[in-house]
Amino acid sequence: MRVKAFTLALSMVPALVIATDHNNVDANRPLRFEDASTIAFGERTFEFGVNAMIGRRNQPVYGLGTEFKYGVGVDQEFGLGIESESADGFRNNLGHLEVRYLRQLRRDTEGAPALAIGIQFATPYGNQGGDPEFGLRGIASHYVGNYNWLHFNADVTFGNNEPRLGFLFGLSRPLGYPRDFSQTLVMEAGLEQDENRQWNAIAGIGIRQQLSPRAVIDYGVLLQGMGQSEKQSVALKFGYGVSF
Amino acid sequence: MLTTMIVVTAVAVATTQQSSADRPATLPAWMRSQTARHIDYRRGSDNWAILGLEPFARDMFATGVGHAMAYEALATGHSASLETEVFDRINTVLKNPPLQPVDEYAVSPTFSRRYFALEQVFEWSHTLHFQTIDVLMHPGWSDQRKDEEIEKLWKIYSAQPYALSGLPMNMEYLDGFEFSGEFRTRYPKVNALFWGYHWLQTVNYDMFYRVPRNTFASQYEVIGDRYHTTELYNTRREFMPMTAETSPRFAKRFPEIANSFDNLHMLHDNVNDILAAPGLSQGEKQREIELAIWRVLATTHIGETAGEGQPVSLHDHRYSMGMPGMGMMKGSDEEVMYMPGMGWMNMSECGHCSMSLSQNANAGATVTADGWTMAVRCALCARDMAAQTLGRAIIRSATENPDQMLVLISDELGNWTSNIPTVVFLEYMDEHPSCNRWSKAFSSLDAFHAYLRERPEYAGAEPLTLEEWASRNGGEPETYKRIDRPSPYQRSREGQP
Amino acid sequence: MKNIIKTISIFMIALGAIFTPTIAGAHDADCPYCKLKLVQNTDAMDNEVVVKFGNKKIEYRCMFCVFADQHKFVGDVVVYAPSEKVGEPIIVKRTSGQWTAPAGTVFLNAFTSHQQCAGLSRAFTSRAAFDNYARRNNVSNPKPLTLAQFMQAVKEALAD
Repeated sequence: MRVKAFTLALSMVPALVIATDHNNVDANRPLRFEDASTIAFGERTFEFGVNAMIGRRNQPVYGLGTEFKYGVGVDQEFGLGIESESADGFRNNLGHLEVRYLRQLRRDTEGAPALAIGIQFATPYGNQGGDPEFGLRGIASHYVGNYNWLHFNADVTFGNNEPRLGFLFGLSRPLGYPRDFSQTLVMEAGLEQDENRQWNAIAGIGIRQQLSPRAVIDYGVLLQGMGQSEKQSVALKFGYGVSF
Repeated sequence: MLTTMIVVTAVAVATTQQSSADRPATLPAWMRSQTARHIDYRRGSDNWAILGLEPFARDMFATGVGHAMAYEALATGHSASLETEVFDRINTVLKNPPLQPVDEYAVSPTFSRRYFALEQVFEWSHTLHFQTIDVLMHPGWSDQRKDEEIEKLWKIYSAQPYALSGLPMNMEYLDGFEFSGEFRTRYPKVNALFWGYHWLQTVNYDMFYRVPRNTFASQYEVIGDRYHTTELYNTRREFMPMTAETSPRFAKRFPEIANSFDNLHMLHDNVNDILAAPGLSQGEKQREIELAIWRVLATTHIGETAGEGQPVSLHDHRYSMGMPGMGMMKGSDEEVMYMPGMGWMNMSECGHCSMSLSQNANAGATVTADGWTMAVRCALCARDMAAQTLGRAIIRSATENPDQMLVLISDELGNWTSNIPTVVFLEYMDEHPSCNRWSKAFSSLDAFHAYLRERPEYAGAEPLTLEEWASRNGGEPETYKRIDRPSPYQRSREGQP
Repeated sequence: MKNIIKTISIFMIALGAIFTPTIAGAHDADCPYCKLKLVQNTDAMDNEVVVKFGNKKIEYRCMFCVFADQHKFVGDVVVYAPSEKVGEPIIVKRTSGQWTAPAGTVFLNAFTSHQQCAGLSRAFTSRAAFDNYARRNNVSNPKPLTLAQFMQAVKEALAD
């Protein structure tokens, strides 16, 4: 249960980076990877997300998540999120509380990628028990030409068991230039370890769409657990972020 | 007068050359920092009030795309197609402007990463541009509150190391380097686009400043049409548009902001010229752009004072009489300056009758026509000036009520429409030195009669309806002083029929 | 005495404003077409070319500039063309799209650069006046033009 909780936290809790800008890729908006960029100093954002995870053998699982983010310093952001899942109709599982800090270490230049590091702490609350988890994420982003940005995320998660690893490669590019400036395509592929330290592949595709100068919606499809047929699932994701 | 000109020109020639004092021993550390340093804009109920006038908002959003596309082409070695394919691509965006603000970093990734310090300067100044507009367009705030909020915005802007100076700078000096003029010579069509954007970004302030909200759309119908049909494609403009030339009321009230916008736009010109200059390596371009930034940073001019400085130098902060919101232009002195399209003028005087303009912000009027906006002394001067200019025009005139500005918009024939249906005019032809007393607009007949009761010398004057007033013409005021000097710029059609 | 003269002069200006629409614009604007400085009237010769339509009264530098810019005029137009006689402009009109000038009007269009246009693109009340002006101003190859010929010359110059 503990592992499942944190996996859901990763996939559901919206982690808005710059809600006002579709070009900035945020973790779980709609895919798991993010770019090496924080929200602006002084910026406040709020995000809401829903998803439906359909497994081969299980009932669909629905999730809700909200997160508040604040640019606490130059190139630094702090996030506080709550997420819930409905494996049993939300009756017994009130969800998880998550605290996150992201620090951008350097910006992207022609010679070297942008780098950032994220620290995350998640703990269950409510009727269902579970163990807290602590995660670290290293992020690199680099422009590779022709309006394509490549991203690399490396995760390590600590809990009661052995640390688990995960690696994600992401690509983002704006769609529709020069006639349209409101959409970004995001794609990712990666590997992650489950609670048994088995490697599973994940892949996803999504869109971030600017709604207004303050608001972005995102939607996407994420394939998880590829390589282990009993764990395969498809997650449909939709989110809305707004700055205020 | 000629002697003065020769002396000024000689000083200019002698001092335009850079001295060692014009180069810093070290650049500010932030300019070469590898951090992103994104700073949020000030949050408030004014945010994105610009969206209340969608055509204008979209045109403003498109200016950012236009800048970014041209810069990316220059940075990625596509300058050969700048006047053709890139121009067409930009023009398509300008004709179909985006609904949302566009992240310039995403449109010009190569340029933005290579010249990141410049991008920060641009972004922060553009934020000031947009937030000032938002305040002016706020639907609920009083004019007094808007003034206070704009002053706060200036303080927030100035607190950052990449804020540009609010001091007037000498434009002849800043445009007097070896590379100056390269871009406008090599890429006249794209340069016209840049100057068109800067025209739009400066002309709007007087459109909104202390002007009733219900006139924004009708004013922008005229301004936007001018922008799309003429200003974007005007390859005959002699110099970039200055804020005080397009929004004199705003520039006079907020000279530091007006100066910072002009300094920003001159920085754009410098960067364009450096990128277009042949024979400069990428490293040299980088260095020249850093110097261009440094020259106009507020931190470079700490302790210096508006109105002072050695002529035609980096630290020349003199300004023409009556307009602290504009630095010295080519050939100008404290008394007169040359405005492209309007000729020589004294900014402290009425453009029509040469009488001194009132220092009272709630007096007189401005005329916007043919791409310029001029301050005038009375309603007659405004009307006749507009009548002497081709095309549609906008008059923004004081009435007896400081909170009720009259906005008149004319068609190509000079027929006017008013935002105040009950407007009446006094026009009791007398000596022009007192035109601000005998030529006035009133919001109502009652206000007209109340004024006449205080001014028995105009007893018997009949109130003029808008139509009656519009059909009049006062001719050339006897007070008008023509300043007979040649243009300091290369003229447009000198060598052709 | 000084006040009386001033009062009379103001009165004359006011009258002029009402009855003589050839009075030019006040501000020191450039010609809307060639963008060169407008040439003011002198005691010896009128130079200000004034175009009137609706409530607009626009000053140009020469007759060529007026006709080169005519697409910008709305509706019926009156052009007050300076003639060889001071204070007696030639009235050239566009009514329902048709241009007309008084019988006998002769046009000169002999400039090669717009710097010369004010002196070399003008109207005259007669052929004799045209010849006299050309002789006194050493105009090389002066060619007298009718209104139609003048308009054609402008059209051809713009097409080049």
